[in-house]
Amino acid sequence: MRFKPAPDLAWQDVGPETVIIDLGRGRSLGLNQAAGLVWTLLADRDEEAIAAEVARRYGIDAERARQDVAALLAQLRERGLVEEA
Amino acid sequence: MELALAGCPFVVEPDSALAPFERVGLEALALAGAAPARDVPPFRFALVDEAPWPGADPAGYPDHAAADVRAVRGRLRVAHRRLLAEIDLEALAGRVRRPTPEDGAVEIALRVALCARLPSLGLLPLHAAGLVLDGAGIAFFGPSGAGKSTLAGLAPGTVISDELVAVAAEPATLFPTGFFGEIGRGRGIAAPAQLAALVELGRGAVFRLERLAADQAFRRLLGVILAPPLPRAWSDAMALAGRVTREVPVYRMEWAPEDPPWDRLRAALLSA
Repeated sequence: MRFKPAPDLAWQDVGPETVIIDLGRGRSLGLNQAAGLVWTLLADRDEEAIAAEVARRYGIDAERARQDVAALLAQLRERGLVEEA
Repeated sequence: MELALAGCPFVVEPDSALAPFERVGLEALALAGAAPARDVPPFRFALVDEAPWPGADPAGYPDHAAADVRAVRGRLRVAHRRLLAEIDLEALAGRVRRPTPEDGAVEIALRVALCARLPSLGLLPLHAAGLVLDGAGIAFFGPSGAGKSTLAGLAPGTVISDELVAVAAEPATLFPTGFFGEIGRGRGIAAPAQLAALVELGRGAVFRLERLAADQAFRRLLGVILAPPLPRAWSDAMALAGRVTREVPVYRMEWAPEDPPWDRLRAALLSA
């Protein structure tokens, strides 16, 4: 499945974090480095490809990467920060 | 009428729709917000009689509250008892309807348009007091009640604003916008100054100045960026805030009005 950032968001990498501003809801959120990587990869990869890249970068097994990425995307979706592309 | 704020050109037209006192107010605003002109097309505001969007009615908004600013289909809608305005940043055009000409009404629309446009021109609009001490510009930021106007009222140097300034990262520069808050205009002739520091204000019994790490400074600045809710403006503003916090030292200062901080502030900044 492919996701994209919801409209009305702006974001910026700040050191190891990615800070997201949700203009519609007037709130901000900080993503850690791994979550920030997933956020960046949303631009041109689907969930499977993102998990593969996370597994490669962090040296973890593919199944764990798939679970972590799926959990993160579910959280982001629940918060209205991503939607299906 | 043509005017420029922080170097950004605006046109308010037609001239005939401006009351004489409105023109005087806009001239004073432009004087307080003077900066070298930028070679960019002007943003044009048309003063109109009809509502800028269907069903718009300024009567529902209180006069003393801040303007309600919303993004609707990529445009900004500004609502206040004194005016309704629609701003199209892409087209560099807006429409303003005042129920009656009132002092400060057009300024509200200009302020929103300026804050929307500044980030794309490399300037970060900040809810901050701007002071010039010994030739060095300092932006004191913080939420309402943090002491910006109190500090500006006590300042020994030029006051650029006690409410809204613009800052650039490269070179680090503090720009006047023309907009003042509680202390009003007329606190010296404002002009851009080299930006020496950004200072987050806090009240405290004892003077204290602490330098913030860049990522911490970035987060603090986010809370005082006055860009309106347009993703592009905020993307530009956040990128600028990142550059500013890398180029300019950011401090947190605790102080008390009965013990003005100037000498210790100068000493601390000089030794940094």
